[in-house]
Amino acid sequence: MFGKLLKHELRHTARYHSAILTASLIATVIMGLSLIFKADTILSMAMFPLIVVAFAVIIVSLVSVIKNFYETIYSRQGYLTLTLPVKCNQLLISKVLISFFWIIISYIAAFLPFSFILLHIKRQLDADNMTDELVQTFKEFLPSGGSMAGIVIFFVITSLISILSYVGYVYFSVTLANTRLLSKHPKLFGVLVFMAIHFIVGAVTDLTAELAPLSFVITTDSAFFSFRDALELGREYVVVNLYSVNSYIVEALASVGLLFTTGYIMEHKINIK
Amino acid sequence: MPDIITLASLKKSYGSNTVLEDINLRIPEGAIVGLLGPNGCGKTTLLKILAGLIKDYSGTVKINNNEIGVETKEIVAFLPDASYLPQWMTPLDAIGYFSDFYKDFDKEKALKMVTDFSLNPKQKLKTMSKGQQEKLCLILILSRNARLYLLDEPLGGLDPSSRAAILDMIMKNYAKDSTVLISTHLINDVEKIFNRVLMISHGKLVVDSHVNELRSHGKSVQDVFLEVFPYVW
Repeated sequence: MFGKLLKHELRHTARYHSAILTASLIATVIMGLSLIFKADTILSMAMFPLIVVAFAVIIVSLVSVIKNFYETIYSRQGYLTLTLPVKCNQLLISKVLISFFWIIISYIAAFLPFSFILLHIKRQLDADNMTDELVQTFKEFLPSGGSMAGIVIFFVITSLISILSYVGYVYFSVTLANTRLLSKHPKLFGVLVFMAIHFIVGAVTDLTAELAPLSFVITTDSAFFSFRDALELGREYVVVNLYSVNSYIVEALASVGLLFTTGYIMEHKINIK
Repeated sequence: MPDIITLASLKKSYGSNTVLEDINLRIPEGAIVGLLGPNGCGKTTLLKILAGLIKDYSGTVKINNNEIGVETKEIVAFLPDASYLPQWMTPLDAIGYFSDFYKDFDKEKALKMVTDFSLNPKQKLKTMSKGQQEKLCLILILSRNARLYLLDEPLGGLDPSSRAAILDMIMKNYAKDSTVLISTHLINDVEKIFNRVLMISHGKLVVDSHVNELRSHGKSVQDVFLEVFPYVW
């Protein structure tokens, strides 16, 4: 049954994304062809539309998370969704997974045309040597080997946490705004609840950072976790960047907690109008 | 016959507004029940509770001896008062959807009914009329071999000949030995099919009677309705 939920959720949400993803694909193909045929005019003409398409792809995916959840659970279509013989948590998890899928696809679709622009620029500058120098300089500022793998893993995990937190906050905000207490002005209360969650998560992050400031530190030699502050680290290493891990841990915990709460409300407190 | 629906001390309020109060009810299998009352009396709320769309109530609600949940949704077919299907779907999409989720769904029956009722199986719902969409919703429900059918105002907004056709469709296609609970305020049209009537007034169950019993006193369901709700206009 869970597989069927995923299948139908994917089918239902594909219509939000098909047009904009097609536009992104066309842009990627055009940029790819212009690179092959060295058509520099296309590059200069395409820059602005590409930026617009990239933003549009991401905005569409983020807005569709809200729209789809509200429409299929709390509007008329909720009569169809919530009378299915499936558990609420299965329904919720299928929506979370498919939302994840589309957001990741949209990030890839937004980035892809720009990767061809970078190749264009490299070709235009006749910069094989220049590129090697740039890459060498870049490499001097970053650790290599296992540490690079660690950095990539860190950024992948934190990106996934950011997506999870967005989806979790949205689902909880929409659900709470459609309970009896707040249902008179669900859109307004949905926005207020979303903002309140961000505020509370921020405050908890600041508090934990005061008590136990955990960072992910990237230096020119390595990458590691540390409880030391930037000043102290700076005396010992050439610090490239420092990322607060507290915020990601708090966000991840908040997202999971809010999703569980959303499932509980859907299971026990729902009142479809 | 065993009871398919059991309600005990069911109460539902929206803030200070009590919509259903102290409803106690047992409905056996195989009954065709009319749920009658004026607009706003609580009929739809009761049906939505039985369908699992409202969870925030007090009291006990059981279908086939199970609390409302996955097991009850497997055997309950709910038809709301207006179309609830996504507008991008076609009848074929909707049939595929129901076929995937409901073990009791008869796909062949649904496809035949779509043809019999002159619906284009590949036409998107957003290009169909309201009546066509509601017809499709009814086809989907009646293509299920459910143990309990909950029909909320299936005749609302229809002309007399359409109402007769819909009633005919319901009586010919629902799974026999199942229980049917129809909410309506168009009593004249449906009276002849009921074997039991429930009347709700201000959230309370004021009449719970077998139709034969009413008729043995020389009264029609319509007569009793007008006695109970003389103020309705």
